[in-house]
Amino acid sequence: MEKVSRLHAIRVSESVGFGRITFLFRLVRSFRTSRLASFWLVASVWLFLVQTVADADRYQSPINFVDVSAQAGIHFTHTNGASGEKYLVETMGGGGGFLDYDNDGLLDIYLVNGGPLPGFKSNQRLRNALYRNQGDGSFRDTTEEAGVSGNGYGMGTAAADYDNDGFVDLFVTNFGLNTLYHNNGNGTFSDVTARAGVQGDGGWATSAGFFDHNNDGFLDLFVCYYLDFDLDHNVRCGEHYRKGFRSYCHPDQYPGLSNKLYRNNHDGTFTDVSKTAGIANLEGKGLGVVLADLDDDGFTDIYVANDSVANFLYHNNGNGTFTDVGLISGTAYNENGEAQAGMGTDISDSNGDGRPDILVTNLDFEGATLYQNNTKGSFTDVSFPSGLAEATLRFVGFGTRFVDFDNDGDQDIFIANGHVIDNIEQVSDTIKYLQPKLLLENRKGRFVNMSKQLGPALVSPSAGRGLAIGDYDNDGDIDFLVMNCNQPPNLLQNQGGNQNHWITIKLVGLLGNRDGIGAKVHVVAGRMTQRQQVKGGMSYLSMHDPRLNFGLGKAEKVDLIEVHWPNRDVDRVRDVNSNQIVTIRESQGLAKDPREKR
Amino acid sequence: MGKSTVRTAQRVIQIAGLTLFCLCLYCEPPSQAKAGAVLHEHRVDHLHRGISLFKAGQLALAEIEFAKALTEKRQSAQAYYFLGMIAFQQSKVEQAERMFSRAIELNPLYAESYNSLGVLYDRQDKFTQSERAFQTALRLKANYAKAHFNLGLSYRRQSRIELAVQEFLYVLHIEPHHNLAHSELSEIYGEQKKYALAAQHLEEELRLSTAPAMTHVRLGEMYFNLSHFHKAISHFVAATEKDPTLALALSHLGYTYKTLGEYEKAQTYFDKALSVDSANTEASMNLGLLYLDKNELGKASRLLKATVLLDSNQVEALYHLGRIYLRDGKLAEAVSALQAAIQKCPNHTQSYYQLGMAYQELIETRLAAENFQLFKQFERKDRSERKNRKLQY
Repeated sequence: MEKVSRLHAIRVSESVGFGRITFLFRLVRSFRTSRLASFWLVASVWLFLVQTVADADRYQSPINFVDVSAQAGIHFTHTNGASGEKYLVETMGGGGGFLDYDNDGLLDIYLVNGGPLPGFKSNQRLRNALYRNQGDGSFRDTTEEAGVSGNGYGMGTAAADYDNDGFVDLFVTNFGLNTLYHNNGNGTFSDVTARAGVQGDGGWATSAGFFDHNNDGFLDLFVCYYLDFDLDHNVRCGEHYRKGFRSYCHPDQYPGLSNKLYRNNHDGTFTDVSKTAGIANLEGKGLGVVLADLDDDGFTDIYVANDSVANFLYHNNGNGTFTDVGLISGTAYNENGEAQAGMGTDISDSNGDGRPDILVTNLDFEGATLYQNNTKGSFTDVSFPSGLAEATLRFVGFGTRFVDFDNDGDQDIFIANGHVIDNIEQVSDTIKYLQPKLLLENRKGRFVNMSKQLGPALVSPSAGRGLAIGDYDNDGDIDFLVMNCNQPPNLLQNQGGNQNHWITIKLVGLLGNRDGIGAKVHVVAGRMTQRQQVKGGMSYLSMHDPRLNFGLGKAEKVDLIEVHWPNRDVDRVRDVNSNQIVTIRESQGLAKDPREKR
Repeated sequence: MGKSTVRTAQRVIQIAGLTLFCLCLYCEPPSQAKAGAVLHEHRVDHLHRGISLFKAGQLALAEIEFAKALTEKRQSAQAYYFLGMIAFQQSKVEQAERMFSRAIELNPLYAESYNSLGVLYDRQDKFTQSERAFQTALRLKANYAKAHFNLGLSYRRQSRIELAVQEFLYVLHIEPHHNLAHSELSEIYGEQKKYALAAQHLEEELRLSTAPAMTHVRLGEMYFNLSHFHKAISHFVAATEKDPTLALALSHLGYTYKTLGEYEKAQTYFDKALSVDSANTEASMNLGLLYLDKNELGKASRLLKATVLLDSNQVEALYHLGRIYLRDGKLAEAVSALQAAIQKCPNHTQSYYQLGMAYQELIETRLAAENFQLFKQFERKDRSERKNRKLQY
């Protein structure tokens, strides 16, 4: 309804403008000969200009984001299990995201819930939730029939076809043992955690991602771990501010935990190769991870956003080992040499130079950080010069993605915000717990906050945590799923983002991993060349549409799609019409996928 | 005349003489009695007159009066006490000590003498003696707020902060409106980063008296540290209303707006601060940093250089100048500025980081590694200090 009325409003104002011009022309003709005519002419011109300016002020962007969670049938509320003891884990969840678990070409949704903590009083059973996309804008809760209700205190998710059987599997991280669900291919999942060997050792796991670290064609699993925090030894914090005041502790209070890398053994099992790979490091407090090739050497690297300690950039040495080059690359700290809060992270080419840059969200008054990729393996912190820091200074950012929300061909930024401290308003007169989302438009390398112009759903405040992006309605523009702490999620439908041309590319690997993770895609449309890669991880606690969306601006067709597969094969497809979802199979080229529905 | 008559007459004369003698003893002759009365009256006048003159700040005249009081037969502990106070104010330490000691000899129960002696010893860093003197004063006079306060000051000078806090709190228990105790506590809590407590005491100071502009500035600083930015702004504004030439308040306003990302307002206030006081290093440095954030390196560099010229000990300015040079690709200048910062402050963590980055650009791998190692060392220490404060997120 809203979309229709907005278009109607635009047409009305256009016709009014045209009507004025016609009127003015007639006026000039009829009043050529008199002084009175001159007066009326001048007055009319003035009135016309004033009205046009006024109309321009009222003019909203044609793009609008609408929260359709309720009408889509997503009746889920994240529950953090809090009891007043301020266990830090309460304030850090929840995650979830998009996956097409039934291969019908439509993105389904999985949402992770918290769990009861000591002192939590409720009879309600807390479970994760799987919602199947019905294709008509609505979703159906299929959690129980699928067998993915979860166990323990949920944090985040990662989804990928780890056994290359054609069906996406699901990994859930917990505060406690993790869970791996194998997709049975018939709408159900089986818990194969114990057999797979990826349960972890009961610590606090956060974000995770699948990627092929050794290019053997099978997806491995990277899991971030956060703090060595245990409920029986909860530190009491906040009294330094005011006697009797209690709040969540700073992560400085607890030691970090080492992240884990599980190598896929090709038989449904994994081996923990963290130590031999060189990624076991107790100095980290991992919250976000993104897995992508940062130096274009054909091997996927790992970037971990750590909380209040140096971030890690693990360069893949190509031999199963990694080297942390965070410090020397300039991506461990901000430009001032300070460790920041480091929650969510993503990688993309933000300035069109062909090299992927790194985005990290942080606490209020730190600002989000954008590390621009130079040559020679170094990065420059351009957070302030790009306008990103200024736009994000007052917010606590969690989930984040680069996204071309308006399909104009450049990478914008979306951030889900929400403070960590639920009683922050008792200690600050400026900062709020619930915070608006931020959608920052990329204007030639400078990021500008557009949230207010893109619909009230974006400025509606919440305790934002996870953020997943995907085109759930297959209409060519990217929608957002924001997961909030102790609140319902927001499914934000992008209405109008497909007014520019676009193309969505799904990759199917045959020699490499089936999801095509690690593949790089170059798209050329007219004068525009764009590069993206199929990445693992991304954002915070979230999983995303595995397809790559390219905004084409005014270009009506794509001249070239070039896919560089992880095994270094290259496929090229030429002269593809825009505004469609295409599937490219490794070594086979463009395939018509009958399951893609619109 | 017989012998008996002579004997009687002798007796009468003896008795008369005895009577007269007794009378002389107990009754002063008229002229002497009057003189004595006048003498007594003068003694009282000299002491009180001296006290009035002392209170009026006329120390020289007061000294004369006290000296006169002491030329009288009766020794006055009070007179010695005040002479001691005069000598103290004239920085005649030994004389003051003698006077106070004498006052104590004459009146060992006069608490004020011990208090002042305590202050005297404290100024000479004779802390054991000063503490003893203060404690004696406190034993003699219950709820002697001044002695508690002075003891608190002494403890503070000795960095025995917890004891100092106890004394100042006790002063407030006795006299809740003791402005100076509030002021001391606000400073101590501010140094301990207990900003809420510091703000509480500063608010009391403001409530109790027409506080100077600087009190508003200090309170604004506490609120800034508590992230109560609107309150901080209101107090900085109040400070500028009391004193429009207070560059520090204007500069703080600029810094607060900069923190909030309101760069235009920040720039306005920094410019105002510099127009009032072109030598205000805080304003020039922070305006320079604002330009650095906006990537206007030329302007940033000029302001930071000016800051360093104004105050060559400004470590932060040297450090940020190094940052600017590094961003601008002027590596040699960056190294020089950063090394200067480290020389002035060998544990300036961020300088080691930037120096490491600079040497890396210069492909001086060993020097880069050394500086990064030092940076990590200091960074761990900073984190450990933060941990001890049990901060909220």
